[in-house]
Amino acid sequence: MHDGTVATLFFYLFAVASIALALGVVLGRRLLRSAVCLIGVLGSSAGLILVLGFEFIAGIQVLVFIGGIVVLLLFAIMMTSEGHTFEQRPSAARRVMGGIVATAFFVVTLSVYVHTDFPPATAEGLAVSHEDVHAIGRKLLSNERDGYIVPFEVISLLLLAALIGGIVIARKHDPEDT
Amino acid sequence: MATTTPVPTETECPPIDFGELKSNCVAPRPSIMGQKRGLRSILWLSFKGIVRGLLTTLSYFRRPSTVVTQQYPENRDTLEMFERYRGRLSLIHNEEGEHGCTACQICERLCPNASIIITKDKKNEATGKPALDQFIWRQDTCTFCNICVLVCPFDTLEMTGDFESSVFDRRLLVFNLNEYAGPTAGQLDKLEDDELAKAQMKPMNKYQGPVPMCGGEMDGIPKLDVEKPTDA
Amino acid sequence: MADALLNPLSLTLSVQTSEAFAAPAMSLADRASRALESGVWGAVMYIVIGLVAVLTAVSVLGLVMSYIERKVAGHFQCRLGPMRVGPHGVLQSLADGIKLLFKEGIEPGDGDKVIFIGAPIFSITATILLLAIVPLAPGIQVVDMNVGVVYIAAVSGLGVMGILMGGWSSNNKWSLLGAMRAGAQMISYEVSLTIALLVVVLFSGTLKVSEIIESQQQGWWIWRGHGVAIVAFCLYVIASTAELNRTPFDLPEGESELTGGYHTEYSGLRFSFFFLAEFANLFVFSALAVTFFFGGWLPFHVGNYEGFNSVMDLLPPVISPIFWFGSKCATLIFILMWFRWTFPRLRMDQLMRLEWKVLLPIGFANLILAATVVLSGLYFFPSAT
Repeated sequence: MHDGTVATLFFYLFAVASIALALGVVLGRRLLRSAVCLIGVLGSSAGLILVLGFEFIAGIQVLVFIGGIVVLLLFAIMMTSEGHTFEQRPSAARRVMGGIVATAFFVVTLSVYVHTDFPPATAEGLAVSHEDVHAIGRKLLSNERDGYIVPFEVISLLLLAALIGGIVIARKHDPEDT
Repeated sequence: MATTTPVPTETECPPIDFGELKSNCVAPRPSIMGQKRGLRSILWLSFKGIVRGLLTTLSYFRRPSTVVTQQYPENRDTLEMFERYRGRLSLIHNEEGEHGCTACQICERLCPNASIIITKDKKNEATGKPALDQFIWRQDTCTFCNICVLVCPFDTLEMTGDFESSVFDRRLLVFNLNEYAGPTAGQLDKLEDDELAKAQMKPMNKYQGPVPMCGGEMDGIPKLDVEKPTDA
Repeated sequence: MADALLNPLSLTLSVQTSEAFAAPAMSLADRASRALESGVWGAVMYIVIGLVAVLTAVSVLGLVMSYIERKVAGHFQCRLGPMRVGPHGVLQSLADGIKLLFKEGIEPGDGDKVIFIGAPIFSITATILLLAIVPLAPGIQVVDMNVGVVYIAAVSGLGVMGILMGGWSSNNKWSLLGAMRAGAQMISYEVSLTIALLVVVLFSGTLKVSEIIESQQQGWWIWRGHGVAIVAFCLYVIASTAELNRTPFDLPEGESELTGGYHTEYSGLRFSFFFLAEFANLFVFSALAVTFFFGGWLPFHVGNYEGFNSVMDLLPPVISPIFWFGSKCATLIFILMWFRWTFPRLRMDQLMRLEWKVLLPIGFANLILAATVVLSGLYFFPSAT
């Protein structure tokens, strides 16, 4: 899958779709359409990951980003209910600022890309990395030198704190309090 | 319900105070069927309720005999309508073909949309009492409200189960209910002379006489007589 | 637009089968993978054939399931259901389908037309993708990924998007409310659904759907799981009822308050897409339950009791998977229909409370219990795995 004509074909398909839809997200002036384009962008990048053969990562990408984050976005848009109206045309100052930021980000990315040495993946390495969900699980929870138990637990703690914070904020307050 | 010990019913109002527009409404302990119960009892009762519901629908599903659907045009010959179904209005005639309508016109007056028109012979020559001439029922305006049946002092009206009343001309929906013009069965019985009694029953068929239908005219239905009887 | 962006995804997922068909016994799978590796045209042929097969399956399922649903509903309610078109009304859904084809597709004037048209396609695409992973018989499975369970969770989440988009773009308060309800409900119950499936993943030790079935050779997980699997199965049934928007969880289309919910403004073919997706999903979720808890196409086996097992294996190999999978699936579908025509609708807050305060804690506790069971090897016939 990670070599051959079919893979190349699909790589270009997803790459083009990704770029086009990303432009759609940024340039579209209807919020909901932008959100739908965002689904496309995330889906295409999941497809790119899939072309590389990392099924698990692609699945998680769809599960978390499309199933979770974009749905959240859609909810936010619907709740605020201004999605129908066209967004205001940005002022000139905002456009210049945005352009500068975007260009700076592009330059940084490009420089990183140019200066990094990408080692070509060996077939064995690839075979191991995308066959085995077990390996991912083990690594995530191992406390060896190459394990990720500490980041995993820290992130869990952070999410728990965020969850509790959310409950505290959303809770109905007694009028006597505060 | 073996798990529950019956507790005397005692309704407890949660404290609600709308005086200062605030409510510290405390949810009362969940109660089922008026009794406060513990969690286990509630769970058990809920489970029982769910299972009972499922079994009820399953019992309907299992037994095709519970199906109430009528396959109407196919079973037209065997179709039995329900007793309380309100179809065509009919004037009850006994075995000798005599009705019991005295033409008192209570039904006509109480009909909410004037679907009954009664014409009468003010004084029958034999009995000396008013006798029915025509009992005209306008099925096209009738709402089948059953009031005429309820108010009839002599119980001479009934709603039949006959619902096949579609026609191609709406004038056909206005017709006589009585089979003869003349006195009631009781009055006819009082006459000693059978021949005289027979003579009082002038046969009346469905579309005979001046049947009012917006003045329309068609085969077998004469034009409406304009002088509508108006005795209040 | 939604159409354009979804197709590539489905295409890749189909292509991905090349390395997924691993089991040596699957001749069909072997042929498929050989077709994929033979070059561009072989791959394209396979994708086209797979997509056409799944699409056909969705349409046929929609027709058959809607007929069955109406018949079953009728008899639950002391009625007969459709009786006129064909003997016992068997052609009724076909007639309805033809009628829907000829109906005018009305678009609300102030709605967002692109999204309005895209939403039903989104919805049915999610169903098609989900149906692709359902193993119907040995080797009869369009997609068999290594991460099948993740795929199921990911793709079943896509169905929400179609409903949200449809409800929003209709520019109608009922549609919007219905879509919001559907969204909230489906996102919530997806958690329980996935947790219930994870119990079986723990038992079988794999995410691959075909391997999960293989792991039940000695007995289905619902028996072997010592009650843990039964709890998981109950959770799954409740959560999938909610996920399917069926009574008692059909608030998104509660006709008494929302007329039609998210598909109020839809008509004709676009409505039928939502409709098809709904009924095909009913099959898919039942089939997944069969796959995960009842051993898929496998016959009923009890451990190593050879005598009993050989009696169960009496059916010839061609009919056996059809019989076992079909009968199990039909039973589950019947149970879901039974629920639908028995229970009244819940209120929205009751629905949310049920998920977050009841099902989710039970699900987590059950998952931890399952992990304990697996670690201590307590489940029946451990030699199987």
